[in-house]
Amino acid sequence: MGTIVVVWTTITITVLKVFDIVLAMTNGQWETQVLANYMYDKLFRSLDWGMGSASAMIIMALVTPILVWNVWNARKEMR
Amino acid sequence: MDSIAGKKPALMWAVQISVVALVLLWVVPTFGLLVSSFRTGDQIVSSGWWQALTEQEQQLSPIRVEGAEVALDGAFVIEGRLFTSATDLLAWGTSSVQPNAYAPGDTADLGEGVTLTVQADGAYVLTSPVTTIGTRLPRIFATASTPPEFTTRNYTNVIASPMAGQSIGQAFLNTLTVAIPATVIPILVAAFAAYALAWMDFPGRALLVALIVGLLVVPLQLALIPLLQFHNWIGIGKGYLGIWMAHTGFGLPLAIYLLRNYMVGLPRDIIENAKVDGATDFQIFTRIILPLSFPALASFAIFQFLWVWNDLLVALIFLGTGNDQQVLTGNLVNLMGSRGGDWEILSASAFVSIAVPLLVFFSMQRFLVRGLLAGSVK
Amino acid sequence: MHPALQALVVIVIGVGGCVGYFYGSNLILDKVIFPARGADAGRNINRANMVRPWLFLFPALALLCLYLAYPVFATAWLSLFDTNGDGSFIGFGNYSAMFAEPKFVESLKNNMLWLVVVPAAATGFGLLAAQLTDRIRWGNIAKSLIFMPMAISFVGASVIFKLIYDSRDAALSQIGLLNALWMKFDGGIGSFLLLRVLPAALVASLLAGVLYAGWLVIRPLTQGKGGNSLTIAGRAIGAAVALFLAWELATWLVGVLTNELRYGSPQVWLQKPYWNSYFLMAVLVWIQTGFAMVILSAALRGVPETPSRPRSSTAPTRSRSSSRSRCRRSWAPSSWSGPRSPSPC
Repeated sequence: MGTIVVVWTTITITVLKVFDIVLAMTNGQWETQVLANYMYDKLFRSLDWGMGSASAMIIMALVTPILVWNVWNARKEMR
Repeated sequence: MDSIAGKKPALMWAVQISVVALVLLWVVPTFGLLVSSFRTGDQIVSSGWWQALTEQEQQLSPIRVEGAEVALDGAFVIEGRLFTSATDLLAWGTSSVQPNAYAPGDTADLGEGVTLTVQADGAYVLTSPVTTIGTRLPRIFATASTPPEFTTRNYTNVIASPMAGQSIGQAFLNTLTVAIPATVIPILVAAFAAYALAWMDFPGRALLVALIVGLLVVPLQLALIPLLQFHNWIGIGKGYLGIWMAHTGFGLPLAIYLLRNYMVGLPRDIIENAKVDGATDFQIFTRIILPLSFPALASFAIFQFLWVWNDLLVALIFLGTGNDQQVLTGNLVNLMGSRGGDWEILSASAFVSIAVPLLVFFSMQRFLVRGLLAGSVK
Repeated sequence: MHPALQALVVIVIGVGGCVGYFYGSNLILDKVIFPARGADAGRNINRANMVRPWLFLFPALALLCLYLAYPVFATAWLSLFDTNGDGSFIGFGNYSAMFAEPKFVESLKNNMLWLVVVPAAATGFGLLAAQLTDRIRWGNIAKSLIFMPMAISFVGASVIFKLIYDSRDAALSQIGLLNALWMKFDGGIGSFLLLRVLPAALVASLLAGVLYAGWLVIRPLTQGKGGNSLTIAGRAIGAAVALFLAWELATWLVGVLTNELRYGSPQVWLQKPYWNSYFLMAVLVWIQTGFAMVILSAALRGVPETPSRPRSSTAPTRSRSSSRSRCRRSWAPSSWSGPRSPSPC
């Protein structure tokens, strides 16, 4: 059961980072846009670094629960 | 758990079939692209890759009648062949409106006494009462059945001759140039740090390990803008130096984590004995720990190599998209946009870009799996 | 300088520099700053040993702080500025503008979908594959083949799947696998069985499974065995995920049974709203299933990897006998399966 959680969280982190697939196949058109591609678009097409950073922080916020969980587990093991 | 299914033959058959189905599902996509990369452009467009081995029925682009005119029996005759390779003509015509008006062997009357006959093997005879020199010769629209044709021309095109910007050969070299330093340097830096975190006792060690675990999770999208600003500030801008440092930085958490986990499992007695014998920490590290940790080092090396080779985001940002600096993934994305319909080029380029990772994967699979297991299973 | 040459130079400098730094700093520490001789020998050695870990750690820590720790704060800081306009500080103005943008809300919704479906599908398939391949003789090869997509870049996988999803005009023959299969359906009894009954059965069983899994996750809470707040939160999230999945599956079930299917005309799969996300997700699931399968297979067999064995770790072994034969005292790093795995001896 613990392994399933590890696998699930690791894949979740990858899902939040994926943008190549969306960029290459549809570039976010036809309602397929995802956060990572949105951030890339804001950064390098609109050159709007403020908005890009804001969306990056949203991605970070989504990842934070997993971060907390992993760190908490690591500290438990270290004791 | 495996005793139940191990005995009943019917259940074993079900398992075998489902595994076959699963494997097929996973292999067929790649296989389809591989087959497509060896077919000619016309054949890819006219039939699916699963029909690659059958005769292809294909509507050819119009071929203009041409040849030396000879005077024969009071008329002017031009003879020629439509095809250079063995092909079966199924139907033909002289206008785009009715491309299949005639059967092979028929004679078409083109007006003013001009006739055209096309045989099944593509041989045609044009007969005209007046000389045809200087006049516009008719075009032949043919639907033919061509044998399956396989070629390596796509690969040579894609690698050797640059087209519309940059040949993929250059991108291949670029990717190699990015990948190798980005694999070697993190290992070195991480090995020392991992040893310190594994075998040296100092206050704050637990905190640092927790920090590393936390940094493992941080998505690299966060780091892009500040680092780009930083690189511009110290003057290296976009370039190889920047991307090497970036990949080193991004790969360090995983490297330290993997290596530390492995080093912690090394036998304590050897290290204790060495310390008793008077070896310094540095000597213990270089003479004992490093050789013993080779499996973990190899695992991470392969992991990092694959990761850097397949990466798109860091390359797009830190390396730039200039023609001489593009990596394979960036090249592929551009091809998908600009020549998305030219499947023969796209498939060959895609396979060139995934050839090396696949090679590394199949030859060093054992290490890759070990690295995954060490890094993830708790 | 030619990039390849530059690469070589960097490797040499990098490796040499690292080794030189470590060797040199250790040397200076031991010989110059805290020399191990004279009256203060003992105290000096102790001091040297206290400083040494930080020497080892310094390059790594420096790089980590620069490349991963500092950017988190820098990005947070940067997100508070209006770079679209005049670069002034606007606090959360960027965030509010972002939430008002329809594309962003769409991204958020899509990401939620991805976050729930992809790990579930990849883990599910991985579990299935792990269980099945462990029981057959050629499981090793099967695992390699399923694991292979992990070596392919996301872009390469996109090319592969773009070919599968390709669509042509109805008069031409299809070159995309999906459309070719689709064109074979004509509304008759075969279509009914394959496109209505079979998917409905699959979705219904998935729905039942998800509801059951959600119930399992919640059950300890209803029985009063709470555990600490983190576990409770985790269980609540798990149950919410299960509920969301169940809702989606229920709507699918209704759709599968009642949708009008346009037989005989090739579909542009990537342009169908809502469903195109699933076609994109299929690419990621295709890649990540191998990863899930490898990890789950190792965990199911519960055997820690010993580095002295030259066999591939995906070799199919009978779990009971192998766990007995792998009880060796040599260096069995239990860290391969994690410090918590039960030792088989």
